[in-house]
Amino acid sequence: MGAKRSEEAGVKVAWRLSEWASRLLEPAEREAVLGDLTEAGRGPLLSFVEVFDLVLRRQAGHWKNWRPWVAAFGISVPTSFLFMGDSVALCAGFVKLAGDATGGNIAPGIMILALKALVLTGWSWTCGYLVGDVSGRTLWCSILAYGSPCLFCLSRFRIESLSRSSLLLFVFPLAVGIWHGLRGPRVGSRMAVCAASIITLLAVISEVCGPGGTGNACSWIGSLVLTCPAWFLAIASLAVTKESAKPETSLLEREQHESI
Amino acid sequence: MLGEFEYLLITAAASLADAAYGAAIRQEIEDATQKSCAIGAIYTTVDRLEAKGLLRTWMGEATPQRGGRAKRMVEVTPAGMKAAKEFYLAVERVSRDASWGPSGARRPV
Repeated sequence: MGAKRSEEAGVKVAWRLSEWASRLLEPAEREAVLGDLTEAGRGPLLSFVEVFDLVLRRQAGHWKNWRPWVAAFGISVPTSFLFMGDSVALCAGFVKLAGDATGGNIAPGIMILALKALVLTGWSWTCGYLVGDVSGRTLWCSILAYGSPCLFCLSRFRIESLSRSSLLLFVFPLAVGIWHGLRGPRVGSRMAVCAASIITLLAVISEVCGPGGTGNACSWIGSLVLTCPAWFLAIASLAVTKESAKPETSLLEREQHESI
Repeated sequence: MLGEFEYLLITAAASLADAAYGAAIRQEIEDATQKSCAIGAIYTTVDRLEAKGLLRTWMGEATPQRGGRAKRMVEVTPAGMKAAKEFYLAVERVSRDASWGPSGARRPV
């Protein structure tokens, strides 16, 4: 009796795993594959193995394109470290300002920090949008690529005057950007160019007025790197606008472009 | 030139005609090769051949045997038939003098 119950429980778990794994497939393909396995009378464990095999093949297929590599290793990993650095610098700036509050006028200091916060938000959103747009189907890897450096730095965070969460100020705008890149309407070319220009201008102003002034080369390079995604988006949206003005491309070409 | 598995798939689909869909194609290939065939291999190959214009697919009707799930129907295009025929003729030509070929004789050294 006990053995039969545990066998039934095992069968249930195996079917659940198959259904869960099949959610990683496209809806039409999920329906076809599960139907084929049901028709063939494959047991629950074999079905799970077959579905998982197909999921792995599909995921591997996405990586033949350059987009997931750029999203995960060209954008996510380097910008994760830069964003964490900027987040900590921003928090440290506010803490220092609060400490100096008994002194003179802090309004210029607050304005500069507010500017830096706006720039960080703009950078995070554009990087998130780009990652969501470019690598929708391998987003899990891009998120892992953002998360791993964060976990690494969180485990080694030693600044006593600041909380560990000061590393993660960029996370919310990044997540919103990823959501918009994945599901939201496409950013128009005018809006993209406008956003890139504003972000660049604010970044330049915050660098010039910041503590390093014009002399801190590392800070300038970091700002340049973080501004690149915004300009990439602007150029890409201009190219899309130009393409849509041409005669209609074939369905296959459009599907191939949208497939990653 | 087609790959070996691509040829098997196209030929199985052509043989099944109107009844060509995932599970049936897999059974046909397994019967011919006497080896098991992963459903993942079938569907990734179908997509690859469809992208090359050698197959056409669409979602068919659901049946109770499939738990009310639809089938993915497969049809070989004229380009697919031509590619399969070229592969078959190439295999025939290259196998002519092989010991397991139709003549059963080795070419003299």
